Amino acid sequence: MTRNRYAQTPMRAAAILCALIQIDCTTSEQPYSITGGYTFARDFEGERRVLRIEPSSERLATCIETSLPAGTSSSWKRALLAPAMHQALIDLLFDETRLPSYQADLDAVEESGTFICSPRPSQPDFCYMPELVVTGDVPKVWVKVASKPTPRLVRSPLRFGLQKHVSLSNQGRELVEAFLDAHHACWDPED
Amino acid sequence: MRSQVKLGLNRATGLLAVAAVGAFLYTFMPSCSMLADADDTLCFAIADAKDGVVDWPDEEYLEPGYKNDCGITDYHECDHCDLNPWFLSQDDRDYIEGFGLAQGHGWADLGRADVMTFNEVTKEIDTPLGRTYNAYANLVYANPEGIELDRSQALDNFEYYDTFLKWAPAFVSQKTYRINGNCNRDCETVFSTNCVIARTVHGPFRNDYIDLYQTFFYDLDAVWRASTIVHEVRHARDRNSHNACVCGNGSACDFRWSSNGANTYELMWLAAYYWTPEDHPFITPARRERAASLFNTRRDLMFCEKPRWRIGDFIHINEIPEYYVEQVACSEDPSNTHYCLVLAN
Repeated sequence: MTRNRYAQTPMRAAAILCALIQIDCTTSEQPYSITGGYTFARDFEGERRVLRIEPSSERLATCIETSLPAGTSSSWKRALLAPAMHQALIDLLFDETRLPSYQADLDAVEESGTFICSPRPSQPDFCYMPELVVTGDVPKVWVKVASKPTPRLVRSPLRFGLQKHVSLSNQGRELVEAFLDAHHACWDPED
Repeated sequence: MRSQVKLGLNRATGLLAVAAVGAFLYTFMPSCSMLADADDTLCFAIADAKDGVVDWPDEEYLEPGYKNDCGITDYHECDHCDLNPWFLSQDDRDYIEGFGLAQGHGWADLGRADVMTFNEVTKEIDTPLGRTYNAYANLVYANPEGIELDRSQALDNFEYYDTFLKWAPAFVSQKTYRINGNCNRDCETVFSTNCVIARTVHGPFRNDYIDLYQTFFYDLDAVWRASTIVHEVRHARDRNSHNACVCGNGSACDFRWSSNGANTYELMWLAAYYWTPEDHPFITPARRERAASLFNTRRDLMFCEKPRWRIGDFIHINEIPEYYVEQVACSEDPSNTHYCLVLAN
């Protein structure tokens, strides 16, 4: 017994050392962000769908679907979109002839979009606006800034209202449909 | 007994054989990093230096669609050597080094010796360290006192830090231990543009550090780099991590504005930068517009509960700094007597 106890001493020391090293190395890495690509995020009827696609020839898409409020992390799925589907979404986004309609859709949701709020116990109300928001290196749009007399042309997310009282152009509706198709292809490719 | 020993030996031999085959195959396998991203342009440029001269990458990966508000394509304004005062002053360079760059690792390989190198055509600063200086330049010179600011004053000394933009460089300085340079691109897949810009490592019994990647140097403009630093510093000594919820920003989401996390800090800095006077000596219209674009885009990406206000709501941010900083920024704590404006969700 005595021999065993002495034999265990270096083992214990090693274990404590390893534990300390582990503590010292217990780091929390914070990936900061991602740079390129386009993100489509739709909040509608208590559900959030997000799709990220790469520009140009990269067809890799990542997507997620979750209920709102999106308080718990679900896992993202990855898929290669069909070339035609991917290209269609990019084309719809960058077709210059459609931009005035997208601008009108943005103005409409800015002017008349309303938040839907629900109370939560011991937390502030959760609110969301039913809309599709497209971010990334999207075309520039005119945005009104408080206290500035005229709108400014800046790179700002495109927004498409999904409430009955918010007008949505046919072009905007097509983009929403194309997004839903692409999201479905990514999220549920077997279907 | 003998047969048991024999069986044991056979098992051991088998295991050894499997290990040997594994080791053999591993030797000839391409590295995982090669499979993940074979486009570490910066690493290759450094490895390929001729007579010690590195051909620094000069393209932004967001090009050719990179029609950025900062005028990169036309004027290379944000990284223009003449438009960043540190380029002309050793005192300014020393001041910027004091943000944690001096004790950072990796900068010797990334051009500490030739930090002043610039593209003769575009006058754009070439080296990763120079481009990092340009990021800090936005933090330093957005505050008109520039390098005269005493960064050592206590962060709650709002008599001294009487504007948010004056407080911000002190916050960054005091909360940073070490800033490292790293030549890797850390992307999802080969040729992907979904890349990590920077990563902060913190934990008990260690000094925190921030690693900056190739994407930080060559895919972003200097205004975005600056807001990235504010973001990362919030992770460092404040140890404020992102939340596990779903937003458009991958794994870097915060629940809401009042989580007071790195995303809130980043956006507050962009808003304050945007709302500087129009005759500001450093913040040109292009830089200001860039800040607005970043704010507009990122506010919609970074929070699981989207903030309900827009950049226009921040018009007074440079007048009432104490309402926007540290724990008093839109706190939900009922015992907190600070007024929270409309930024409560």
